[in-house]
Amino acid sequence: MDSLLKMENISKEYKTPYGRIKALRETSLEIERGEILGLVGESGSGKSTLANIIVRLIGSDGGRIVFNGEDITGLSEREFRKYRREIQMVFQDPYSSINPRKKIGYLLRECLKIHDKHLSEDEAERRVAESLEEVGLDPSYASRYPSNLSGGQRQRVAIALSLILRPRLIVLDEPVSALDVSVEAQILNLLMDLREKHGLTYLFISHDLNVVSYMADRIAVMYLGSIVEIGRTEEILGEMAHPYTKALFKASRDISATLSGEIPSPMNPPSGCPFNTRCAYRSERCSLECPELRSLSEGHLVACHYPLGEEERK
Amino acid sequence: MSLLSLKDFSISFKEGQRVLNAVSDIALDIERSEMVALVGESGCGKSVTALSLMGLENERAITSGEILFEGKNIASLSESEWNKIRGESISMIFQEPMTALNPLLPTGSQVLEMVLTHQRVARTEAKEMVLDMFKSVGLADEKRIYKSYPHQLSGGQRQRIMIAMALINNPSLLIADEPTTALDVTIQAEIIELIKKMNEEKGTAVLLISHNLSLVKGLTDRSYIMYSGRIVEEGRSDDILSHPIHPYTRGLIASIPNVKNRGRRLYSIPGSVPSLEERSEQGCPFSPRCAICSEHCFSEIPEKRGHDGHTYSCFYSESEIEERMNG
Repeated sequence: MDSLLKMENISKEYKTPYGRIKALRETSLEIERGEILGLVGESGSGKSTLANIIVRLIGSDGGRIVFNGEDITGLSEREFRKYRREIQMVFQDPYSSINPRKKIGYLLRECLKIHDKHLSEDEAERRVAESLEEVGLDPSYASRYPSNLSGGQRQRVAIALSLILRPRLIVLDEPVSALDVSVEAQILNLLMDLREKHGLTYLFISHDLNVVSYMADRIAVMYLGSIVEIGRTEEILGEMAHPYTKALFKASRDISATLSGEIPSPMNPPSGCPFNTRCAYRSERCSLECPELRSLSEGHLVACHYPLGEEERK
Repeated sequence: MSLLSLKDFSISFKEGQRVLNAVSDIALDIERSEMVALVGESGCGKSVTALSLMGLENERAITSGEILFEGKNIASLSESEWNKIRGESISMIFQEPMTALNPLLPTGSQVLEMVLTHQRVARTEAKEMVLDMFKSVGLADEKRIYKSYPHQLSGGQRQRIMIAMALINNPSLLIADEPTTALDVTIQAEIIELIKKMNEEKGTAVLLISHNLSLVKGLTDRSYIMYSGRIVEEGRSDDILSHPIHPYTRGLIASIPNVKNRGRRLYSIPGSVPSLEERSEQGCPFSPRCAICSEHCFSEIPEKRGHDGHTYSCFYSESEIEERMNG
């Protein structure tokens, strides 16, 4: 696999007044060049922590991150700066992720100038207009404020902001969850077009499994800070092996209650397999021994002692 | 007699010299024990409609038309008359339970207050009722939760508290405004089963307000599709969702991504929902975004047509829409 980003045994712990929260437990994840990797899981599963570590909004406690063949784990903030332009992020809520007091043109120019101090005004102007056009906005939007725009238009601006530095990888953290259905389709089409045009790689985080199934080439399922299953989208949908994957996708397909209870507190995770407290197929071994992520077939990995068979998938 | 029926109901706001219409001449009926959905994107008027059914509309809102609840017009009640209906006959659950609950009071006493306001029972008896209700909405550890503050509970638990609060006085109508949007899929399914169970056991009619079409299909009997303050299509939910007629409903359903349309471009309705100020008062509300509109769509408002309870507002017949969309 030609990987663009490789994360090995990443762990992250948050300290709170009530105790320690293990947000990531030695999580490993590889993103292939040019692919869309979907990341799904309930809230509290560690999806956003993982995303924030990739773009270095927060640091990890342990593990190794390799980007484009180079180890970027221990880099200082200054050394990391050149990777910042290559790894960009789009957030869920375009109302809070864009500064409402600055004109859109200013925000875009600021991105350019931080990374290239010698850029001429003309060149900056041209790049701003070009990036607005790329996301389907008229260049005249440069002189407008975000407050005059609709949610869909704002999310286009957020995408323009992430795109203007010509990144290789864009982390999309719930990019369409705050949008209306008819606008969602427009933004998804735009993301697909941009990937095609620039050969981008996406990490696409969403709780909407329909959106992920539509967009992603591969899907990774997270539960309580670990990846429990990963594989090609067709495999995850058709040959799911982890009971949690099954529950999650079944719940979204026919809105039937498939899991009892809620995700356990990461402050007090269950012993053994993290999912054993809610699993319909659990046996004694599951509460004693935590299953490792192992390969079922080429590229399809699952962390379960008793992966689902054909009958159990139904 | 329907439990609730809206007749020629409109809501408008005065903005300087202009009058902006948020909801225009809608008609909507809910029978006893029926589950009905009001579907639409943000800004189409579904939430202002819901708030007026609770007498909670913005004080600047100007309403006209009738809201008949059990045959009685409740559109122009006084505040004290509303207090008898709200929470007792009609109650509501909101999208974000964290902001709908009082953060400074234990959840139990918030629900207790609902009982004591509307029913003549002793405090100890009322407390028993609340604990029973907590149990029946699936809050297992009810004694602890009774004393807990909202921030100590999870999103799913908070939404269960909201449901307990809404149902404790046995209302005949429950309005659920995007009740699961803030929740995870697995929790969403449990909350929906709970609303279903309450409907079956107690015969509570439900008005579900949502933009989530698979939720609407799974839960409700009938649906109203709203666009730009008007109802554009109505009928049995499974019928509308598997067999939409109005160009807006068709577009909405076609633009939902799923695994079946992988690798293909999604259909998307051009443009976006107009804001209240941008709405045109003339013609079909959907005409500026409609793929098949013609000149008179911009000047006249189409009448309701259709049959067997499945109606839509468009100048074109079903076969004409079909033909024009494919042609």
